[in-house]
Amino acid sequence: MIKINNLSFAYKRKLDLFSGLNLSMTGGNIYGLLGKNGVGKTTLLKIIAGLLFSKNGDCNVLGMNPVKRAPGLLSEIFFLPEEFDVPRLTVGEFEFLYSPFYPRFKKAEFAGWLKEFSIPENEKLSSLSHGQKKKFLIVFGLATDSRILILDEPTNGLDIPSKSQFRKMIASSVNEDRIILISTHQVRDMQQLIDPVIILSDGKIIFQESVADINDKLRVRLVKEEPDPQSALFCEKVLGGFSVLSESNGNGNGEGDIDLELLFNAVVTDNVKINAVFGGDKK
Amino acid sequence: MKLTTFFSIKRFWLLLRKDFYTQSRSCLIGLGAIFSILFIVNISSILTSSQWNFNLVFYPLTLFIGGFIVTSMSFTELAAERSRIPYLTLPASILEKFVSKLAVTSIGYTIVSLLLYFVFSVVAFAFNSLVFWQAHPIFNPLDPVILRTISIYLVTQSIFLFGAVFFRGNAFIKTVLSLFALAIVYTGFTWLAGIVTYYSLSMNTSVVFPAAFMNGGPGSYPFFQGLRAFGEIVLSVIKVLFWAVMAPLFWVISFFRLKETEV
Repeated sequence: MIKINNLSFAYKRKLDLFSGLNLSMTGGNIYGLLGKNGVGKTTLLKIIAGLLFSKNGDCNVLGMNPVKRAPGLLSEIFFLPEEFDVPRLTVGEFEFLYSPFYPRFKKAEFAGWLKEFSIPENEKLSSLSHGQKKKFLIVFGLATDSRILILDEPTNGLDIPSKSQFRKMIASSVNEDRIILISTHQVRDMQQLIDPVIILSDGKIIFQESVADINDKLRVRLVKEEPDPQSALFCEKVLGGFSVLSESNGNGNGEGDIDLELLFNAVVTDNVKINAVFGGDKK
Repeated sequence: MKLTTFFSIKRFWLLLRKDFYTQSRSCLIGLGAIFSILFIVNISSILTSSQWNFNLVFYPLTLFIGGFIVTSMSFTELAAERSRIPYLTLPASILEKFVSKLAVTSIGYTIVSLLLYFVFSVVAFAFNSLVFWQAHPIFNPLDPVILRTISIYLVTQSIFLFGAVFFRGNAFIKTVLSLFALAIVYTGFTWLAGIVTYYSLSMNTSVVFPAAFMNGGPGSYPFFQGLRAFGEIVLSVIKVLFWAVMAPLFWVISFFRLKETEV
């Protein structure tokens, strides 16, 4: 559904942010895009949404080039940026004016999700709090039934109950024909949601694996003494000892619970070592 | 709606509805302010003199000033990244988005201003007749002068539409300043050309200003006859450029600028 080949991108008067980036995404998954600040997560999302134009390479979304901004493709992409503006309209007015652009807009679900998130329907969107505005846009994005839902830091600004509701909504919305791509720093919020995990660093995708594979091939344990570097893939000091990431030697059953934050730090520190566990190069 | 169509009447209508709905508030507030001022001016002018045609002066002002401001504000979505993202990802083609803004700010604004100005003139006529026993005539939208004014607005508005797409924020002021800058450059250029021409003529007075020229006046001299003919050709070209080329040119440039807009 999304295929990026040899993509290069640079902002004006700056060095290349991406060079030779490759990425492939298929339906039925909630992809988690992780990366340090400034590595280009948001830029990549914008390129996929047709908001930025790459210098070289191909970006193919649902068989189309997003640069052309064809209305058919746009109706299949909903992009929720980290920072956004909402018009001075009520929920009803917004739905009346914007929902007809999405041919499969789910009115009933939209109304139900609004209630679930307790979003007041008669107030102007511009007068809502940042979290409420974000919840409204998440609900609207889900109701569009677009095949590609791109969410940039969706849980920033959400209160604790809303984060849980958000995870439930997203989990229930994914289907074989849909890609949900979430860029986030809040890995703990997304731990139970995202699968596969994509890590972006130095202008390339340095890691892309499913959670089942990660749990199958890696394990995390807490030890009191710092482990021998040969026996661990990565370790970091935590309260009460060391959190150690090591190879599971085939003992994993794919149902464990890998600490994404630890995995991220391990991959960013030495992606070659981690990728070797998964059969060499990143996928 | 077919996925590949770049102009769908249904989507265009949806865009038009959205643009009209979201812009009508600021447009009506602006027109409300203009008509309040006009009402006061109308009464004042009745008290001083009612001999001149108020509507032929003030409708063009309403049309041009209000229309240029509304047009300059038409692409406010592009001013900031936060609003640019939803606008550019809204499922409609760039052509539909552009034509929708063009329609709202050109024909849409003209129709709204004509209707509101007509209502205003009727109210002003009734009020002035009752209170002062004299009034300016009711506005006639079909007056040839008004129709000509509208056609000039529809052409010149394209410059401000380009400014709205090109500039990020304060498009009206920036467009006006750019036009001033261009006017200054043009004036300087023509002034320089005049100086150079006059200087070269005055340096060779015996050749350029012979007795026949001095007796018959400047018009009788072949150089100036040629210059006049050339001037008429230039004027015709300018008319063609104004009426047939200028608006489409700015529309095309604006469209491509919009198409290439990134976040």
